[in-house]
Amino acid sequence: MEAIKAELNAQLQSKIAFEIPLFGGIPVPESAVITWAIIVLLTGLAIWLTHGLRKKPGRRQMAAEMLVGFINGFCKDTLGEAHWRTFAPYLGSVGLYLAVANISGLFGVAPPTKDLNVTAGLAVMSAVLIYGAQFRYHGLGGGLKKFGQPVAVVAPLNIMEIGIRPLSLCMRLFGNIFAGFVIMELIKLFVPAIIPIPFSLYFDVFDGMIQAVVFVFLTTLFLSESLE
Amino acid sequence: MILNLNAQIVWVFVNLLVLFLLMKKFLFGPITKMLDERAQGVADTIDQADARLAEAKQCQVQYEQQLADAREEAARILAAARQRGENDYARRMAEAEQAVKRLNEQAARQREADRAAMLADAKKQVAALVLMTTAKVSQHALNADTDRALLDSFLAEETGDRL
Repeated sequence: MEAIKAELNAQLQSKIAFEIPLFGGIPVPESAVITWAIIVLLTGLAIWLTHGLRKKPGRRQMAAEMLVGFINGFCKDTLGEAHWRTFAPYLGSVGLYLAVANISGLFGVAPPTKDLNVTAGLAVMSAVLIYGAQFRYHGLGGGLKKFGQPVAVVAPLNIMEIGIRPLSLCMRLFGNIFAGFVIMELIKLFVPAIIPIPFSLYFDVFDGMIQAVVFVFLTTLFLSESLE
Repeated sequence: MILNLNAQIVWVFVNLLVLFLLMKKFLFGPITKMLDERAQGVADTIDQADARLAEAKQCQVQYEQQLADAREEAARILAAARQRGENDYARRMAEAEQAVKRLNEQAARQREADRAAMLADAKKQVAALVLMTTAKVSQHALNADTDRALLDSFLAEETGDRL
């Protein structure tokens, strides 16, 4: 039991992959290295999908158009005709990143979203996007007034939400992926073969996809609230 | 460290921005542009088709108008020709009637003149006969000039009303 505890504890640590020997050593976390791999993968995929675009699409281009069309359509429905072009690329990028990051456990690497820094970073970016858009499109006065809507009484709640929203986004994602990772590690410790497969499909693929969708969906929803 | 929230969060911001820019450049940018272009192309094609249809309809109306004009023109020309023909016919008929009338009148006048000449001739012969008879009766010839005048006046009195 003690051995299992020690083993699990070791697995759950967010490790430092290496240090850049500059300014007395800049630590590079494992999650950042995996994120780079995901960036390379996604960029390579994007270039492969979109090279030689034609008016009459082939199967490759059709797949890319379906993916982008889906994300654009979702943003158009939620954010409206005026704003979707501005935000669709970012929201789509986050969605794709999370989708790949969450299922990366399937390939034997620790998902970057298991690192609290990553989910916190994503949540902070979402908050910056949401409240940045609020002030960018309503002006300073209009942006401040948005906190008093629909009635002035809720203003304290709205102001608290500036912290609550990113915190909930961050913790929901981290908690789900981390819990899934813990359970998967436990199962793998007890039964190393066959049995982990269905569990992995659930915790890595299904839950991972759900969490990616939820994160992007909530960010878009908050964004549309601050834009309207 | 399991719940590590520290300065390494900067890596997340940097990585996300890099991913965002790469995705925008290689995936969302070109594909959205392509989708827009295609939508624009479809809209243009439909507009063009509408425009051509309208043009075709206008052409049809124009051709029908021209055809109607041509038919009307033909009918007018035909009517004019018929009218002219009828006028000609009427004029010739009138001329012919006039000519017939003139000829008839001429014939009547001729007849009248012939009759008058015949009558004068007969009168002259009757006068001669009367003169001869009277000469025979009086046994001497009348003085040609005075007696002929007397005789003429006498005959004129007798026959003037009836001739």
